[in-house]
Amino acid sequence: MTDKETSLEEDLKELESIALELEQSDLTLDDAIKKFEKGIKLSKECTKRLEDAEKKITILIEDENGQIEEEKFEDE
Amino acid sequence: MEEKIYSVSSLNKYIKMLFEQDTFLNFITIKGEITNFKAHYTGHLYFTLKDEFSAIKCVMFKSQAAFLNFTPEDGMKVVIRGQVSVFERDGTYQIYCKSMKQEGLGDLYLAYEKLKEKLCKEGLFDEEIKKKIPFLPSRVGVITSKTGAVIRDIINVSTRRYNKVNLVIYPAAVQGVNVPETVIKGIETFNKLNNVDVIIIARGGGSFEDLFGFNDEGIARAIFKSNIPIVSAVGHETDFTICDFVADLRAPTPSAAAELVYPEYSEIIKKILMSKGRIINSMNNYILRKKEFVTRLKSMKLEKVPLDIINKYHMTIDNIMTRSQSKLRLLLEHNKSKCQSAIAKIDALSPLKTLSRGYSVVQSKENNKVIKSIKDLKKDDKLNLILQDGTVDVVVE
Repeated sequence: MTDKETSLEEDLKELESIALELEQSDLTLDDAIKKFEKGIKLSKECTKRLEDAEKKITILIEDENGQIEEEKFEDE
Repeated sequence: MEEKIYSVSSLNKYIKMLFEQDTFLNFITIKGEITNFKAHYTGHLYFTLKDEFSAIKCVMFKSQAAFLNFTPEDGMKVVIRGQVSVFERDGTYQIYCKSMKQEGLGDLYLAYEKLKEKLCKEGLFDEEIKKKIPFLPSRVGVITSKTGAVIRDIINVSTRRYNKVNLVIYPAAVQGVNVPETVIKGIETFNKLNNVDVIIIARGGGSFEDLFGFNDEGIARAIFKSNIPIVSAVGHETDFTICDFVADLRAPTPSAAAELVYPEYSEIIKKILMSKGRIINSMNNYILRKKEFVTRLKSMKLEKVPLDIINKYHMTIDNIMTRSQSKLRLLLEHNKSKCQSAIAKIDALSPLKTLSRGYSVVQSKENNKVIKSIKDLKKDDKLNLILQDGTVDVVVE
């Protein structure tokens, strides 16, 4: 999990909506530049998030006291 | 007395009415062997149910046939629930099947059917309450056995599509009496920890009895209550459990569940690059467009406008000047001629003209007053006598 507020899915959606907005709406120069910067930033962040993510497979184990522990899942 | 004569259709209508008034025929459970089975292309099933001595026609409409978890065939022993009614057109009576199970499944199957009907009525299967499965989950919870092929299939398939999977397994019993308890606990645990954004409940294929643990009211209600969307992958394509009906999405197999939950990694990268490309393109286009706009403005002589305005005022001033000058000249001309005619008039009235005709003017020398009457004169008064070419002094005698 990331410490970011938004999920990758939300970021991807926003990225797409920025692309659409830049293509279709008549923005002022300031707004267009703002959107452009946001879009480029988002695309970098999304790619980084994808690249930085690590494969992780865990298993939840409940101990005698009912506490849930998370352990690495040994694949075979 | 004349005998009343009826038409065939009104007779059949009457018989049908009798059938439908009968509560026994309206909901009946019959067992028998299938024969003459035909699956029509419309999805409706037509067959005959028979025993050693007798047979009855049956029809099962597509909407009900969709819920069958086996394919009926000739020779199969089944138990049918439905309504006996008349098909008016042919004047035949037949069973309209609501459900069908293979004979021998016994009570388990009936319990399943009953529970399904109950939960369906309560609205637990309603499409509009189903939660959306996220397009790309940050983390996926898997409720299944920690050993066996299912978990390995899920790991393999999801990793193949998306090499950085984030799975957390909740080990559950997938067969036997512990199924409901462990599966419910898994759903509740994930909801309490709130650490995944989709849950897969998975189990491999098996007989109806093997999967029966998943036909549990408690599991159904736990799935219904879950805030996290749930994908059910219990059994194989043809196996339907209550768990499948309540879940937000049914996957035909555990591997399919992994595919439904994880998108292809390369597809997402492609998507990001495409959006980025679109953003850069449209920004370039935007700047080009604005540049063109500026060029167009320039060519519209915007820069020359102040000079144009000044020139325009110059012209106005020139115009006014010309007009006032000519007006002035006209005024001058007018006054000049007026002046000349006045001078001519004055000239005509001048006393000098009268003098030239031989008249003269007499003035008192004392006060220069013009003498107009002899009454103003007395002896020895000194006078000026003005003639046309000069003045002489005279004295009154």
